[in-house]
Amino acid sequence: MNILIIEDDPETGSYLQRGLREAGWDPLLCTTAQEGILAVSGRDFDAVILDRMLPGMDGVDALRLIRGAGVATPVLMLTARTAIQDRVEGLEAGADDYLLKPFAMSELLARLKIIARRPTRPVEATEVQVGPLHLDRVKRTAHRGETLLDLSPLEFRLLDFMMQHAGQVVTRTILLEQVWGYRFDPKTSLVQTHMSRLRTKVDKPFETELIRTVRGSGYVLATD
Amino acid sequence: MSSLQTNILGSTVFQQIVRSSAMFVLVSLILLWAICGAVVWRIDRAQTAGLEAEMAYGQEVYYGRGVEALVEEEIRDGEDLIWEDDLIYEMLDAGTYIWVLRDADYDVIAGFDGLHGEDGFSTQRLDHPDISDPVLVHRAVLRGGDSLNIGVFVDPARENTLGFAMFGTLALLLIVLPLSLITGFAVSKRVYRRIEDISATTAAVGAGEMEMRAPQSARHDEFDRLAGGINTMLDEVARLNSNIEAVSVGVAHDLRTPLSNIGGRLELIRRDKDDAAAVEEHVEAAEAAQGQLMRVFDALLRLGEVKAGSRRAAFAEFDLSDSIGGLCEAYGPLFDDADKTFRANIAPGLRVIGDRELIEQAVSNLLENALEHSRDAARVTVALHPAPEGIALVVADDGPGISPVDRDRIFDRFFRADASRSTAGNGLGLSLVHAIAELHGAEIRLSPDARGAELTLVFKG
Repeated sequence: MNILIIEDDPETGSYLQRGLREAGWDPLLCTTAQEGILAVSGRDFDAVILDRMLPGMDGVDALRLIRGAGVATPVLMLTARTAIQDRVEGLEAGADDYLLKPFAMSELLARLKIIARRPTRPVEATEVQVGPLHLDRVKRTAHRGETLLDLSPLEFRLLDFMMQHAGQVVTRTILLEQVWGYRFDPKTSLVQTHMSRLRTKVDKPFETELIRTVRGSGYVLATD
Repeated sequence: MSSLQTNILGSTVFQQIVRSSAMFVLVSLILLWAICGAVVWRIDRAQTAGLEAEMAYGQEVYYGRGVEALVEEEIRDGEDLIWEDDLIYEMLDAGTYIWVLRDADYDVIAGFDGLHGEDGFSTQRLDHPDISDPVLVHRAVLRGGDSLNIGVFVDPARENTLGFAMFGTLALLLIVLPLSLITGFAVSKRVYRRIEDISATTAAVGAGEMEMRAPQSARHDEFDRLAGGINTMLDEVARLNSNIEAVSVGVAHDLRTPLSNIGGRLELIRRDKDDAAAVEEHVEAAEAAQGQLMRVFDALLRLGEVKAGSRRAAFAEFDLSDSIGGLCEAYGPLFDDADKTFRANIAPGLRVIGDRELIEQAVSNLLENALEHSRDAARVTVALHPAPEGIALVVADDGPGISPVDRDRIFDRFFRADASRSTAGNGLGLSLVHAIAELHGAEIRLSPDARGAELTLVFKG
């Protein structure tokens, strides 16, 4: 995947470049908003990482220019923790997601994957099949092979989300945001508790483990 | 002149008093002279009108019936054509008219020889050995150079009025004005002293003597109220200061543990750099510590944001029942896993106006508190129902509860009932709940007689 990074801080810039390269992606780093706008309008990127604070031009203004020019490339905005209110502005200006600095590389990669693929995702299918897992959104039933899984509504939503992003690492924060709709970080192991209940039902009686823990990052649903 | 006096003379109070006394004296003078002037004018008008009437009658007789008739009727004093000086005393007492008719050579035909005058009206003095009172004279020239003067003593009321006006002016300028300045100085001095006491206090506090307080008298006047207000403010500042100190110590303490964890893990990574599994473990532990740091940081920032009220712009109406229901669904299994009983009783369709995200965070903090701080096998209940004042949300457990000494402080930042800080948590949870409730104008209270901790949030409808 081609990723454009617009970030003026050299340390964050090289951290991002290194992280993306290690993930097997192809990053391009621009250090000013002008450079970045030129790059994004000249080439087709899979996603853009845009810093909120850029010298000379505000990240939100740069984003408005990019969107104004008709460029629909997904944008992940990086904002400082001191300005939580900024994210509303960012999302309104057309950002697809935002991430507070400082962030973990795993979190960034997971989010990038989600937004980079978002446009290609088919419109809400009524049934989803991933490996042996089958989900019927109308009847609200889930099967693994022939076995009917007895899931709570919350576990159903959790499994649904995992199946939509099968093969991708989803972090705890992403799950909190997308499945529960919470933007805050609970002290307790809210996600782990529900995930372990789900795994008890989905994996325990079977031989192969479909939902795996990615150490330090989150979870991934195996596609095979 | 001492500097105290200079300061008093330059003080606002004194200058105001000077200005207002000057104004008072000026207005009094204007009034005094306007009234006296009007009185004098009326006196003059009455005397002039009398003289005109006499003159008209005299001329009528003179032209109609001749000099003799005039002399006979109006001027002759018994047998005498020419008036004696003595006769004038009667005129002075009775205020009657003095006449004199002269011929073309200015020789007296009849009347009082000492009465002179100019054409028209004039004020003259009589040619008389004793009487020097002013006389208002009307003179007219008649046929063949004859002239007729009619005079009347100026009404003494005129002189009295003018004398009164002069006296009044002097009294105002020489007595009232200096007196008001002296009083003003005395009053200003007292005001200045009181203000000086207060400003000395504020200066001392400004210089770092935080324990200084403004003196208060037993009079309960406006200065005592001012001093009282300043003292209350200083007490509050001192309280906030000590709160900030406590917060700083709390922050330092809460940050030290994860920071030293990270430091230790970095050292271990260096030591174990050839052992991939060990490095992975250290990185994970360091990441966990970093996450803990971030949570403290986020909670502080969010608390600041909520306290500043900047979130109010994002207020919208939403289904509170739905939101609390979702939280209970999310937290229920956590209570199960902790072997605690959890029951939620939520009335459907209750809506409030507010920031859904913040309210959810507040309720999740309450649930987490119940989860962490209730006794083993506790029963935790959440209830949402309409109340007389609005909508009440109750989160309660059945033990061990909050000790009475801690009740007043549980909403303070970094306050933790566990003084050793050995349990998890950063002491920000309830202060955030409190701030969020305040932002929404909701009331938060701790039920005093519940067995365990029972917190009620009332959203005013």
